[in-house]
Amino acid sequence: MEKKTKKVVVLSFAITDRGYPYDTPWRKITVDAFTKCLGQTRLRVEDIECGSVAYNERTISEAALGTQVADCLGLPMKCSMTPVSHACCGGGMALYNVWHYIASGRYDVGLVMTMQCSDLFDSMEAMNPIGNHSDYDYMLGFSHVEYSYLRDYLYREKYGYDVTPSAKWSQICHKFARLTPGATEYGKDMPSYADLSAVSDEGERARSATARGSTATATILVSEEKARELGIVDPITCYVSYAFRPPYIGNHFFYAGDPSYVPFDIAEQPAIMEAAKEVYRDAKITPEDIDVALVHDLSGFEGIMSLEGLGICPIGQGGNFVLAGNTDLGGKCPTNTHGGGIAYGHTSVGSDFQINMFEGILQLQGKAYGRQVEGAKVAVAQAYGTHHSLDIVSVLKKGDL
Amino acid sequence: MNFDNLYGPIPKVETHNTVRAFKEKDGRYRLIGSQCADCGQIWFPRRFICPKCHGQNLQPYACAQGGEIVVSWVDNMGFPTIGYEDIDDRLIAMIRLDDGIHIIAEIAECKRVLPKGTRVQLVIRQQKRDDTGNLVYGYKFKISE
Repeated sequence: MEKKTKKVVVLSFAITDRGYPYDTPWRKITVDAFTKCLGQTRLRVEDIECGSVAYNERTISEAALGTQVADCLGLPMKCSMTPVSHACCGGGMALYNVWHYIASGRYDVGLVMTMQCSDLFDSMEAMNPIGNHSDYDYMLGFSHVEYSYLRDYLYREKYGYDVTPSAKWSQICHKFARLTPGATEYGKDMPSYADLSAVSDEGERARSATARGSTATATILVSEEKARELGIVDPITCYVSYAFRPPYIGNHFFYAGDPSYVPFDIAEQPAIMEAAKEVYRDAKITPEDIDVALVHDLSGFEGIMSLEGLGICPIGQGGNFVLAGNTDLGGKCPTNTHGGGIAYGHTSVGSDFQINMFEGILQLQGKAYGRQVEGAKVAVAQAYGTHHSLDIVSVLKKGDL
Repeated sequence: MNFDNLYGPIPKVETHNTVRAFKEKDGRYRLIGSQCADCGQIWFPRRFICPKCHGQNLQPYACAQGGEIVVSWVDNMGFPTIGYEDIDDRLIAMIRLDDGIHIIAEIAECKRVLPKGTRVQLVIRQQKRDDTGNLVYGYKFKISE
């Protein structure tokens, strides 16, 4: 997996505001995100050379979505727009595509689009109770929700935790969300620790991700040469890698299809480990270099397992790592400083990866006001799709050119 | 998931139908998976290429019909899977079958979390109505007698 020739710079990024009514068409939110993103640059629409768009296959009923998006944005006829259907880490996969288009040297300017929209047919909020990608899940009524709780329960049982690491995780995230204007929980009252640590259905809900509704994001990537041409000051470079697990969750137990996955079950995340290994090598970093981590946390324990997969703490020690305050400002690795999914909102492919990436960029730019990690130079953003069947890891670096 | 802050009704659309269920009837009724004739690895659900040796000589394999609980959880969070809205709380479990295969299944006739190692056995039970109105049947497990 070599022959990556050029560094890739994040030129601009944008996420749509909250609150789109259910009858808003996907074209509207897509255009809103794109124009907001492009407006931050000196580029014109016709400067976009390539792109990729991520969506949930049950969200959009149109065929050939890449062309539909390119058309609705008025992109040049030569601009390819590759559609990606990779569930909640789809945004990361779209980035992965465009990153490679630019790193290969073929293009200098690329557009990454993501969208999650309730276009009469479906939405993330409906997808959750429907299920996942295995026929057996559909037929027998299992969804993200069942997988998530079974995973959390097994992790707790295997490594000897009660709910307190998840409660502590969500408390810190809720605190950060009160400092993040885009968060769904921004401006709301802080939940009590008693509420967050309750051993009850209400407690489980309090420790779970909120929902955000229709969302789109846009990110423009450019080659290092283009960044210099545009006179970008303090450019943020990005690196990205991907790995997957079998979609059927039973096959997450000691999976015989890959020797490196054999030791693990659903309480560990070998696909994150594989993706992290590659992207750390590309970015020339180690886990110790990471100043801030932005991980996908539909529950606190999912976030904890992700930190372990990223090598930020040892496997099975993530709970203690959080309880010691290491994910808060001043800790060993401040994590989800925007509030994460618990407080920022789960949008699936709409922005689950991108909100992590965008927060990482803000941190490196020194613009995460009130929640800034002082002197941050390296951030890692991660997201998963379909209950960790798909994992994407990205490294963002400052001062890399 | 916490749906408190949504901006409208949650659309509920089924994407599952009778034809799709029919194609997987062997697995759904009898836990028929695959065994690789080249390397011997067993799989569930069925596969057409063995991920271990990449051979394509896979044969139908009847999975063990008994096993033990790895972890279980009562699904009572208030947003049931579509088609299950009118069904009470469900006990969902990850089960390690006696041949080593892991499957996720509902435990019939039980509404409490079961300890790890609890013995269970395969049963066929009614699942739900699909979007064409037909009843779907499939595997569940129950505590071994």
